[in-house]
Amino acid sequence: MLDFWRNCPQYLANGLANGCLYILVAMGFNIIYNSTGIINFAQGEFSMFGGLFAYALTVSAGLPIPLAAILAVLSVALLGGLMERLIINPLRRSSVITAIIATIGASIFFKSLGRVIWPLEAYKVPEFTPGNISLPGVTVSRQFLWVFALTVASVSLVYVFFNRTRAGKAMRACSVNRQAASLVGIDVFRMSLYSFLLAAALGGAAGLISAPYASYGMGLELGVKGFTAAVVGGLGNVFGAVVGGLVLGVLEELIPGFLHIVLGISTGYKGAVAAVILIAVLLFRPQGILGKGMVEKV
Amino acid sequence: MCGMRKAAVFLLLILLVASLCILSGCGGGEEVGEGGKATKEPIKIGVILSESGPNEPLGKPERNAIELFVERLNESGGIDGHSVKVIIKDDQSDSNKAQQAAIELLEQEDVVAIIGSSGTGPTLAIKQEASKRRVPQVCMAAGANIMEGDITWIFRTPPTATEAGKKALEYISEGLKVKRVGLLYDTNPFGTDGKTVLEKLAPDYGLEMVASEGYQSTDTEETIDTHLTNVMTYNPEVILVWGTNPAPAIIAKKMKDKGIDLPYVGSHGIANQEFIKLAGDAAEGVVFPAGKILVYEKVLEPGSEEYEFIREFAQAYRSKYGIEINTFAGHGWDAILIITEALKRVGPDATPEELRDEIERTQGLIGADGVFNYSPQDHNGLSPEDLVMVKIVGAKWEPAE
Repeated sequence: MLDFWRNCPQYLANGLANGCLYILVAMGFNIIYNSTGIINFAQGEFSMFGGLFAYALTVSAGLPIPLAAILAVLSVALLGGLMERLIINPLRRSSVITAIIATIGASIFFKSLGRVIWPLEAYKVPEFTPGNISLPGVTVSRQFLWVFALTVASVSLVYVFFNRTRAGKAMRACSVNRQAASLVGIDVFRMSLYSFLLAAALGGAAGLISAPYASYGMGLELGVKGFTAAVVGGLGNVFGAVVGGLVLGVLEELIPGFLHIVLGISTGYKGAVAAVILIAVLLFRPQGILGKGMVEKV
Repeated sequence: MCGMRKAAVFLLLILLVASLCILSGCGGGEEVGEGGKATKEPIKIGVILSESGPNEPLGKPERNAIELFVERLNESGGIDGHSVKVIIKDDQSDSNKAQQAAIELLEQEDVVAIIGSSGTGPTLAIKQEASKRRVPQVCMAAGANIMEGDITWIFRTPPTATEAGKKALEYISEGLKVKRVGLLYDTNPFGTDGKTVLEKLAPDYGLEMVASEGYQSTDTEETIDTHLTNVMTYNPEVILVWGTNPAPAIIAKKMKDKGIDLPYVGSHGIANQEFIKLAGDAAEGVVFPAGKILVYEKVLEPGSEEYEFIREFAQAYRSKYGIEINTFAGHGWDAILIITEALKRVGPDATPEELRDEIERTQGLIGADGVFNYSPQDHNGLSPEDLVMVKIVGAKWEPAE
């Protein structure tokens, strides 16, 4: 038990770092869900492209890291926009479920494309600042500070966007009632485009900072975890994603650590933790920890 | 609006067709061989490899080696004047495609033997078809389950978790002279094969597995850190890592970051330049079991039969392709070597059954991976002595003492 407590700071730090990635991906799920009612299964693939574009721009093209990072996020946003225009928008008169199935198709297409261009099992993406920080009981990489700072910045920007800008307010209106929003003159199809641009940018950022390694297969894992975080926080509640991401990230490190060190159960299947949390939330609190619509009611 | 929609649908169709073209690749097999000095009717051997998909880094050098081997064999007269023709198909690292390719080769081409595949899944798919039609198969995949069930028709060239595991444990107990082992293994088939073997064999070497922690191939750097933290709680004296890239590289990096000053022993899964590239500085001092082919100039006696065999292969490979041989090229080279040597002994007109029996009688055959000895009970062929422990020094491979 003592060993467990001694390891706790490290578990928390690791959980926080993973949680940040989940927050960014989960916000993407929520933003698209709010504007369109669609669960975008290609959300994880946005992250994959974020990581692989960063690799291509830094290692293959030799650009400096900050420029490469910005270009990678913009490129992924563009890809998200293209996906909306080419796949989602043409399906606007179909049912939501048709569009969701189309996003599954898009996710398979993106993954295959990634696999064709970058076939190896891993590519090393340079860290923003290599090295690490050691405190008693905890060692984190310096990259962790970037992960944390970028996540705080992204969440703040999204907050400002939704509360202070016209487009953001219009998107919130769409999430309350798309038909009513359309009646008062809001172009709901444009809002759909905006939501894909924004969600892709957030996903791309998550892939970018999840350095040091990127691969064509990373999208599925991040997508599943991000979706779980979104449901745990409350699907459709953009800031519920923050709570969901942190809860999932931290529990995912703490629970296997506890099982292993205290109870002696060696568990290699950490993925099961996320699945159990997801099922528990759906059974006992299907609206999520914060519930849907808190943002709108403020 | 309607026009735009049509344009969008059209674009979508183009994308779809383009993606299908990329994904399906070229369907047909390619024939290599014939020509040369051999003039009698060619002997047909089917080859199924993963030249694309995740196992591409395996399939490409395997193909290079097989083509080179056949070219040289046919130039020197083939087998009793019969040239050897290999029909090569790409399974794209996919079991279904491998099965389909096997059926085509067996039913339409009437091959006398099949080489393949690079990975365990496709190999099992081929095994099913080849065994059913009673045609011998030599594979280049290392999964333990390949040798489960009926092994009559299947043989293999690469070392398995058993040989590599014995070598690594022997190094820990006799080279490092420590007892407490902390194991980190991938929960993929490669890692769990290793875990099963290592946990079973550790007591034979007087070692204690103090912690055995499974990670997932897709784990983030932080999650890997948690696994390492758990293992460190049990005060191991050596960290043993059984997995394929990139996680072993992350573990090396994390150990360096956290100032964990324990020896790092890896598996043959990191016997590639990719590991050094991914781990960077942290690769320094890492030790792992590998075929002698990686460091043959340093571990084999110049002039010895094994040394000359690998040197000749390495030179021919370099002059044809301009790159160095690697482990996978060795697996391919040995696969075609084993079949053609058996054909030389039994004669070019051998039926698949006769060929199989002769392959099983292979004894003391020097190949690139080591010395092959097959028997009715053992279709793996190699022994732990065919491996050496390799240490990464200055981003280069050196034999470990």
